[in-house]
Amino acid sequence: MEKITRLSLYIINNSKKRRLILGISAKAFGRIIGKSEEFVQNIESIRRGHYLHIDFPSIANALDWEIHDLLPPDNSPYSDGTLVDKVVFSLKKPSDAEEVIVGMKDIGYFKKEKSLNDIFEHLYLTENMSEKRKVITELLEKLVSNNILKLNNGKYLA
Amino acid sequence: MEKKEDNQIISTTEHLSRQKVSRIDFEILVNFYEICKKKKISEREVSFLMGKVNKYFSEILNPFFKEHVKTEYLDILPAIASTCIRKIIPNDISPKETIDIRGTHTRETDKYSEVDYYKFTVTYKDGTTRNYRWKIEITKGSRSKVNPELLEILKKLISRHYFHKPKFALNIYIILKSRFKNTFSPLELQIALSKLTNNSCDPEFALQEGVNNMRITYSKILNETEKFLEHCQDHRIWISRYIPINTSEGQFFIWYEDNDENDKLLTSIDGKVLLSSSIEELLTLLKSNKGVFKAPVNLEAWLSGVEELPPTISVTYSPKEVIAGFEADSVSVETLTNFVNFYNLIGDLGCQDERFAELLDLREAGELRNVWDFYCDNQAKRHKELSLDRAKFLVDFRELVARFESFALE
Repeated sequence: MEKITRLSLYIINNSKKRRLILGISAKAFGRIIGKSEEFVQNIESIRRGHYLHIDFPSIANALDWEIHDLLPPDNSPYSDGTLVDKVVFSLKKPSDAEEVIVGMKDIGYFKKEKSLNDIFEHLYLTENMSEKRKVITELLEKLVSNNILKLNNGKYLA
Repeated sequence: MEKKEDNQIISTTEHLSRQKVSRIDFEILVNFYEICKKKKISEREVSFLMGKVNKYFSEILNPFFKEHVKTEYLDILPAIASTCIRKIIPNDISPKETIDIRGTHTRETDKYSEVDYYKFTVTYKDGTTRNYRWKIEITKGSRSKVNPELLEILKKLISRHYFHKPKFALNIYIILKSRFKNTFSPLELQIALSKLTNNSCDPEFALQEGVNNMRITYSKILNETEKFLEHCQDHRIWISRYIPINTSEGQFFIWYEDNDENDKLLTSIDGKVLLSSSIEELLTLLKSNKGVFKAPVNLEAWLSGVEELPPTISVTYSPKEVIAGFEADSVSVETLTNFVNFYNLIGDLGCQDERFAELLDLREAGELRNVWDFYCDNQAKRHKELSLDRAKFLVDFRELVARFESFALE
């Protein structure tokens, strides 16, 4: 597996999560920061690569954030520079997917009723992404049973 | 006085400028540098902790030179300056914002030092300006005195195998800081490490420099035996020797960490501990496994490394020596350690297979457990006196050994 600094990994995962919450595609995100869709997909995958700090202002701007929002909290432990595995944020992972759905709820996405297809569209989950779709579907069921979301005529609402 | 007269100062000044410099690059450098100056961390010390040569950071600081702190190194700046990343990376920069830098660079050199003066003005995109004055001094050929206390601490770390794997200067500095607060400066650490990497250093404590991910590392120069033991450590497989209580002929066996993270003795499918009368015989047995035992996952990789290194035992278990040690007037630390090693070995065997579970009950017998607890308390710095019924201890211990041997040797 590719290795990366802890800080770079944090920024990749944090920005990817935010991008998904806001419903920005990799293509649109790349366009705003002046990069290609492939560049963003590459950085956000287990392949080699990280964002350069000169792009931090553009990335923060694209995500409607300040630069500091990209960074780890002040109480984070110090890094000695030892590289870590590039384990990227993914909707295939239920805990990551939950952070995205809860983040969507927090920004008001579920103030209006949303169908499963609306949610898939928001997350750019095409029909061939069955594994991620399955994770999201099961997660929504869990959030409904935990009273975090409501289900009304097949539509989700906060 | 004579020195002063001989010491000719050569001074050169250049007027320089740079346009369209990335503002975030510049601000990161300024923020970090100002924190370091406040905390009295020199440019040389920053370079050292980054794992670079002495002048590395001074050269980056040259505002007229296009070099900057690379993204890969942002990760370590908080640890170097004992601050958080948000104090280093600015928050209020626009995308692709640039600045212009204009000013002078004066270099004064003499026999003893090289001083760079940077006087420059930064012009921001809205037309506002800010002036900077930096003085960066490099002392030439100064003699460095080693801090003896720090050197001893490093030697202790070396003997405890800390340097068996390469370490960055920052790794070592963070460890020292966590244990001794701010007792030792990065410069003192650099001087102590250069003493240990010097050719004249005692081989027992000799370190070597290497490079990992473009940063300098420090590691022990391992002899062949140490290399083999490190190979064992990497693969979590070790050769051990057991000396039965009634003979002096050792029996060799494999001790390993299994996938379930439990330590185990290598046993045959039918539950016997695999023992050999020599290391060579043991290795032959391991290489020619014909369904005799279930091979540990790393065995093949471990065996391939064994061909290049002289195989060595990591631990010898000798109950006879433990008994002799407990019969002596005072029980030595070595005896206690030998006992605990054996006690743990019994625990590993007892836990790995129900057929050996009886050993666990015997292990808990009054005085045996008492001595083990005493050892653990002392390891945890809870110093207590060892109060022990030695006669009872020896009876319990002999019984445990006899039962172990009945399982392992018969």
